[in-house]
Amino acid sequence: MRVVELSYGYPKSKQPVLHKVSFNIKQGKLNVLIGPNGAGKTTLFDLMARVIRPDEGLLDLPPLREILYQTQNPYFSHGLKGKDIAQFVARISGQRVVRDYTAYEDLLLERERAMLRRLWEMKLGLMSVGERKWLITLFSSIIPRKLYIFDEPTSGVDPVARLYILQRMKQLVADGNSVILSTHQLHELEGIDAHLIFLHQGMIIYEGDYHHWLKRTGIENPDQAFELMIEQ
Amino acid sequence: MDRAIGFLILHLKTLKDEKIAVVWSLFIPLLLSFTFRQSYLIEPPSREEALFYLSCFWAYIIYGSYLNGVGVTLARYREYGYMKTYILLSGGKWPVMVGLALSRVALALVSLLIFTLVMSFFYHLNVALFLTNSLIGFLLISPPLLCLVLVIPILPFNLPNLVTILNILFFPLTYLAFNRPVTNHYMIEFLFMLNPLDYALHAYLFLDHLLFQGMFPASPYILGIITMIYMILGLYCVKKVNIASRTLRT
Repeated sequence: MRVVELSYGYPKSKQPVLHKVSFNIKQGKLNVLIGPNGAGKTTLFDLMARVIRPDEGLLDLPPLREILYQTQNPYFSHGLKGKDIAQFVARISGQRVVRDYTAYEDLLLERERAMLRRLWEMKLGLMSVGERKWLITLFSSIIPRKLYIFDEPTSGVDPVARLYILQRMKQLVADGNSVILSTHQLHELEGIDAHLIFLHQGMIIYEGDYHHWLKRTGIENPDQAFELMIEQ
Repeated sequence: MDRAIGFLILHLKTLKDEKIAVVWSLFIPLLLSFTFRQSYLIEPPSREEALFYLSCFWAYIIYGSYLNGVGVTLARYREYGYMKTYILLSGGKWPVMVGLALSRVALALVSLLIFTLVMSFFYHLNVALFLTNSLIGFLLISPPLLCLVLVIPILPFNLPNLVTILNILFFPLTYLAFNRPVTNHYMIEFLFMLNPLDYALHAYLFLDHLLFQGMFPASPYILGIITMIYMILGLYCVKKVNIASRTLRT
């Protein structure tokens, strides 16, 4: 899967948001898109998911029905409960609808099971941001697709929920799926075999292994390495 | 279809919290119908009078449910990011729209049935006859009206203005549909019947004419042409509905 020479400018904007952006989506690695705010990460994901059409370029990606794209702030009515989301996802993905959270326990770590038990009958509006994101990410990741796109799945999320979400991403990769996510939390990539795609001013300024990128900048702190990259 | 059913159930669960939809489609018509013709409670109306009167409210219930429940809701979904979430989880537009439409069809149907039962009871009407009439008309006019309201999410207004404009227009259109003069001029009748409430009312009257030889004041050809206009418009607009919000990056 790849993106080839993708360019896009918003209708009323003088400057293009993306200019001849090309990168590969590696299987077996977690593909991570990073860049400063306003770099065009969400726009790039929107193009990949055919929400908007590029001005130029080629998308060598599965068709829309084979892509799952979880937006930065997935919206569901706050009156729905955890189990409603589980059952909804089961229905739209042709899976068996279950009434009991225990059906999902095989997929989860012990602490995640306790969390799911608690959230099963809870309304979304009463959950914390992290709990809501974890729950939606959990059930989104169960929908079988060829390509998973997650736009900042860990933003605004507490450390525990962040760990669980990343664990879910790693499991998707381990199961042979193609996954790309965007993040500002570079420290969370420490223990992950990540394929980094660095987007800045509408162009890819680095594509490659995350650890190799850090070595190249000569800085251990990824936030400082990020800053150096932008300044250069 | 499984995906559409998934969205149908999701929307029905969401509807449980949206009591205002039930107020709009059931309690307001009941209240208004008793208020405007209090005399019918003392002296029950004839079959033709009752049919015309109930048809007005049937048109109100059906079109009101679809206008707000489908058209405005789709516009709201787009603006607040629900549309993007749903379409990108399910892989397509159709399951989202069909599921939403079916949920509002269900609400309109239940409202219609309860309204008709209550009015038949109080006005001493033939329940079976009026229920049958209301249901057959409902089945016939729902598809074109559902198609028509798909125009709403592509209108070039931001959401608050759109809702205000539609609400401002709704009541005068209702009044015009139910109180306008009947003419012999085809073009004038055509223009009046472009009003979806007028169209729905005349569809019910035409049905009564077909089934029970009731009076039908307008031309069936006009009804047929408007049905086709609504369907074509809707099918064109469904392709144009944008997933992304115009005002909020999601």
